[in-house]
Amino acid sequence: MSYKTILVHADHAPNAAARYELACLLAASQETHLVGTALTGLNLDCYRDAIAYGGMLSPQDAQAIHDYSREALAEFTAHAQRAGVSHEVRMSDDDAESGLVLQARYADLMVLSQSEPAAVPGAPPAQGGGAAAGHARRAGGGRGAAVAGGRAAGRPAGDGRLRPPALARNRAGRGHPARAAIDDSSRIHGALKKAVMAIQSDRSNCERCIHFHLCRDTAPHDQVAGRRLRVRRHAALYRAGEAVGNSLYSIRSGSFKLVLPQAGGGQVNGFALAPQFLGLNALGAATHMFSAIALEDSEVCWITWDRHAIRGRRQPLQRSALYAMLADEIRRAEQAALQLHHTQAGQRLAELMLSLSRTNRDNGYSPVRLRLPMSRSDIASYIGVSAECVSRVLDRFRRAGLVELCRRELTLLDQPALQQLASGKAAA
Amino acid sequence: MMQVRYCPQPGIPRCEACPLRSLCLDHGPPDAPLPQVCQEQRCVQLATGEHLFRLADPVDHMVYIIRSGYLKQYQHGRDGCQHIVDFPGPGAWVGLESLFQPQRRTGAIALCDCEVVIVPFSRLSILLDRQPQAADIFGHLLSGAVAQHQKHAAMLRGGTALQRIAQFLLERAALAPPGVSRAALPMSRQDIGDYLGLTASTVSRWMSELRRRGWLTLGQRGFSLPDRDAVGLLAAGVPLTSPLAGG
Repeated sequence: MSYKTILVHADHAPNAAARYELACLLAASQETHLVGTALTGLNLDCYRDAIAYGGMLSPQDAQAIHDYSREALAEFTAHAQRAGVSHEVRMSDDDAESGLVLQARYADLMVLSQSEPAAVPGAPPAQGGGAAAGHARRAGGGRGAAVAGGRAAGRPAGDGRLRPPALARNRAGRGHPARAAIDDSSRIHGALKKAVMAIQSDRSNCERCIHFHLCRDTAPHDQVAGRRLRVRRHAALYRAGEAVGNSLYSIRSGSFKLVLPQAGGGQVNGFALAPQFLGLNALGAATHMFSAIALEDSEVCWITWDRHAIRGRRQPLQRSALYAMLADEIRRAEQAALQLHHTQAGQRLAELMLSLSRTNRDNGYSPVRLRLPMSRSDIASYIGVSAECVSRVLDRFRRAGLVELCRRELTLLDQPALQQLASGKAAA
Repeated sequence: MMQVRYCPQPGIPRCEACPLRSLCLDHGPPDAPLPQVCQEQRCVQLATGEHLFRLADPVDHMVYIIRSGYLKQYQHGRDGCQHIVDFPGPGAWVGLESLFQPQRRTGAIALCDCEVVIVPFSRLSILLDRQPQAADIFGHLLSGAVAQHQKHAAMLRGGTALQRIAQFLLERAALAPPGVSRAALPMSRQDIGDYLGLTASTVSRWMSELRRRGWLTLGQRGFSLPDRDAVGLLAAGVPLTSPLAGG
């Protein structure tokens, strides 16, 4: 078997030269195309944190960070030229882990080095890194600022043990009660609203989006009529009572729950999984009726519905396709309401599983194997019973051989029986 | 049989009674030629109990707007019972959910004598293409229908029988024209029960309890809420203290 493309991580680590040598050797023996990739560490979080705690990186700082990566790439190019292999270089604004993982999908082999913690940060340029860190300190301290500064200054060098601070922080946060995270989210949300990036259809994998027909040709050049937002787990994309502001969201990855605020905590009123839309119920309304809370780290396209803005926004989505989508949403909402006429928890749960299965099938995924991104208590709130009841019914389903449930992976083993159950004709 | 006749009717000034008034900006002089969307409007009269369309009817690419009267839109549950989706009233658009679909997913029956305007969707889209503002309003209309079903689901999901009934009464009362205290209640107790996921007897019991307390006045196919605040509290989940608590 021959490798067509080999990806090699380019940075300033002391063992980088050995890494390039190995990659060149492999490439020469197999007539492979070699791709050197450098990650600047300036991922979206970095911008977001910087905004959350005040100010953006100055262009000079960003320039210095980019130059630093460019140096690493020049080093790689020198090696590749000496070995006489076909090669190219790539630089992306992302942290090492997610950037490499993403690019590895388009390569046959990736060459990395082991971590050498003692030797790592490899002396970032005094001017660039120092300036960035100083900037972050000026920005007002706090955890977020330290992350932004730390990432910008030292992180690009870390190969091998690839764990950016954001990830570590996420892990640590997992133990916290959800409520604290939700309370915290209004602040995150405020930052989110600004930390957005224009979407360029050639860079954002738009051709793969099943809703691309809605956006195509709605804006000049390669831009499409939207922006991309990243929403952390438990954070709110929008909250009930907030102004709608002509916004519509298309979920690119992840999932959300729609929560109706109520006296004793919220009532879960629906789930939206990628690639569904959010905000279809609020066009022209003054405020949102539900809060949209991310069930996992998610990404959405944010489409602004502003007729008076620049030409491209005049018709942000193809109209008839939008109407079809809205009509679809009406039917879905109607169905969800009808489902609640069933009185038994088993009936409602079976109906929920079947409707998730239908959605999965319509989106081209398996109708039998589902992922349940929502917690048991979310399900309980959605079908209007207690969490214990959901667990009990799930257990009953499992023992009856209707489903198999492993953590959040649900397999429907006997769909006809579930249909029967949903219709109330059989007792589980 | 449904009687179909052309609309606008002779004798009524142009645009005066047009159901597309909110959408359309073509308020031309009275003698100007009528746009096509107006020329192709039809009007049907439905008697009580007559179907506007039935479940699984092929979709005829028409949009219906109620001029007067009330319909009930129903679907059959998996268990064969009737579930009410909505009670559209004057001014409501019916059948929007079936746009771009081969078959009707709901049936619609007149609850009283109704007058319904029929507009071909193809004509409507020409209007929408010409007027961006109309397109926006139509989008809002569809979006509002989504929100309304979600509200209905929220009502079914939480709350006791009494809470649902109180919410339902408040919702209907809010539909009455401003300044009029009496709101229409053209549907039977059974229909209300099928809308709220309750039995007809539960609906009757709680409504007579509300009436006994003087919070609800029932009349011929209509009602009013003399003490709206008390009903509002019930809708928010404040329990009713004696003597029928738990009933």
